[in-house]
Amino acid sequence: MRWFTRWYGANPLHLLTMLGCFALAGYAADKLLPHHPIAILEWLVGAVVGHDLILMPLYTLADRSAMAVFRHRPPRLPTVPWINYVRVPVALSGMLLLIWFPLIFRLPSRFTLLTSLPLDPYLWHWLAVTGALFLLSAVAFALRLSLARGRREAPRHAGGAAGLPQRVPAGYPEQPRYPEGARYPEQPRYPERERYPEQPRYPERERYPEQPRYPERGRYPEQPRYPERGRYPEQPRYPERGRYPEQPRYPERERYPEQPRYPERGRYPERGRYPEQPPYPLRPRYLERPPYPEQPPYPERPPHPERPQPARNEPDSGPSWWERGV
Amino acid sequence: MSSFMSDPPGPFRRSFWRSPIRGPWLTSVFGLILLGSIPVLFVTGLLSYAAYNPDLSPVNDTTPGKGLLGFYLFSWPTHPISLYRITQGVHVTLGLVLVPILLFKLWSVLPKLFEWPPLRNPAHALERLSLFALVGGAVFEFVTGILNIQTYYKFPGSFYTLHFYGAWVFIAGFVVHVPLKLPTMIRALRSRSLITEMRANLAQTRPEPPDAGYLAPVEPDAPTISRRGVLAFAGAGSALIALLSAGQSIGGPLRRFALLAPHGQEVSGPDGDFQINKTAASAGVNAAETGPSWRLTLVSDVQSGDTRTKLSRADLLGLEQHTASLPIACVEGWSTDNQEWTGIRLSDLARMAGVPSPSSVLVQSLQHGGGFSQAVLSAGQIMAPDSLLALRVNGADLTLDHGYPARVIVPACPGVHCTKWVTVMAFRS
Repeated sequence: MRWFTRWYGANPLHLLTMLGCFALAGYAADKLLPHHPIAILEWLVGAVVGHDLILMPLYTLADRSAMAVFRHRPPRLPTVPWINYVRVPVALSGMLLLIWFPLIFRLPSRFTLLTSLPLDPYLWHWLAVTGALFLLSAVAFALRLSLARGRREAPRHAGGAAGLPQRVPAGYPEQPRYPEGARYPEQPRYPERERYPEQPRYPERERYPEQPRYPERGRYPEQPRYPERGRYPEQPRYPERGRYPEQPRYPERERYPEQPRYPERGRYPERGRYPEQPPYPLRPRYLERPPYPEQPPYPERPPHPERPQPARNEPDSGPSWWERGV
Repeated sequence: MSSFMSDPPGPFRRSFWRSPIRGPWLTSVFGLILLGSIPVLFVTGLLSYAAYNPDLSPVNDTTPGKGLLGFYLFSWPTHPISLYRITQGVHVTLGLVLVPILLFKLWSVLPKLFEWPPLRNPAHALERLSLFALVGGAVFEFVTGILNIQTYYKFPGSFYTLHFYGAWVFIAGFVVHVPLKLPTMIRALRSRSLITEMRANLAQTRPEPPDAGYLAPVEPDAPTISRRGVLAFAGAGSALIALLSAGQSIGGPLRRFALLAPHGQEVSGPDGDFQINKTAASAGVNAAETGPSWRLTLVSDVQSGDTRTKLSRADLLGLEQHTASLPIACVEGWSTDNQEWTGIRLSDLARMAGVPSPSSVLVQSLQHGGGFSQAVLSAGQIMAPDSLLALRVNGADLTLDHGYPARVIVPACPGVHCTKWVTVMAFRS
């Protein structure tokens, strides 16, 4: 049994259910197919391919294009995210077209003969409904916009795709709202790394065996560890995340962006800004570490024994080989 | 090769899928709606099939080879009079309303189509094959149904055959998909609180964690719509479709809003006129055949050698007249409000034919060829007091398009079995 489960990938009940499914589907298909086997198979496959591989990519593309078109046109006035006020009426109108396209485009040739009803009105009905949808959407957007501009705390979005925020709104100091395009913009590249190219490749380093290797510290001495950042991609379950309980709106916080919580704060209400408060019990770990006492200053580093130092400020000795005509 | 397997191209890479709201929770919400609706759709569909009484006679059977798939058939009742109007109205309107839900559901599970590796083990392979029956069957059923109600017969073969057997293929995929995914769905629905999601605006919308399931994005983009926004989006689509089409089934004031429904228009005839499924012109019935020379022939198999009674329309008008208030309900989902039909009871005609307790009657139309030019009614349908051979409707003679000189009207019966332009009624004892 264990062998079977390992080979098959599920328990035998799964296989039984599947066989039942294929027996029923096969029986029905056996009745269905003799009529027009090729055409029906084309329809079944076409149903899946047509929807999943043609229709869906098409409307995804349309959606992305709509946002990309306006990506680089920041509005002069504060705005609110507008993409859904376009997306919804377009999608609903498109869906009506998808369902009723034969009537709208007057395709059923026998419709009038059969029902004594005219085919003409459907196109106008669809256009009217589409117009009404856009009108409703525009009214809703105007209301939302006037509300947002009327309020003092209206987020002054710099604009961008879909009018979505580019800058961090008040109250969320460290967590920008994922500016589109760049995912996790704070994570990927550390330009500081390029500033210390001479550090890693020096074999002289072995001469300072007492120098402890602080890989994180050496390269990013000023960057404490952001616990939020490290967790992000594999974040397991944050039921509390939607509520942001860990992010209270402390205006003081912007001065300590890397220090999440000050439980001690309540004890010193009169101090206010804590600029000189000597011991930080919750200071990041790197500050508690001893400061490189034995690290000698770099200028005294002895020259590399094997690598000859390039002569500086000296003209090249003699003409080069092509000048000599070799 | 191994690097190709571990780092597949394009959409086969999980990080290709960026939508921050896609995830098991959202899929499960749409799945839950479909889980409640698809069985209703399936059962009303089977009821519509049963309403044709296909077991009664080969004349009624649009799918003669159904075999075991007709195991549940029963004699279709005549009460309540709106039974077929309700079941078929629900079938068609619910089907239309589910279109946006189905589209959103398919969108939400699209990454699974590009799952990598494509086949992990035999169980996975079989499951994906069953998904082909499920998705292919679902789209096939929706497309054939939606085209049929618009009389756009572009599908390969008879609608009845395709839609009926296609439904069984679809439901075969459905009945394995539900038990396999039910635990996943329940787990996903419990992973997030619906109330919290309903309160979360765009700024508070966060992606589902990647370890929640294959559908959750590993590298999500910034959200452009909240989850409650997506649910409202789908709901608005359904509500819009319902508003624009339900009126053709429900009638009343809603009919004015049925702007995109094949039979939502007002009929341009005299006051109190109602919808027609098949005009006399399309059936090839002309005024000469229905003129004074028209006779209704009653046939019975009681006496040796068929007894034949021929009745003119004047004879029929001289018989005892009854009035019944009955709707016309079409398999295409539209229906009319109750109309006042006046005519002779079918049971009276059976007695005249010499068969006081008939087992069935074959009703033939003047119509030349075409589908449903004849139908067989069951004993229960003949003996129902409201079952009439109608001569007048709403106080006026039938018009040619409504079946002049005489038509059958049976309570709760599909419209196509209420034969128009009746010329022969053959009772069997």
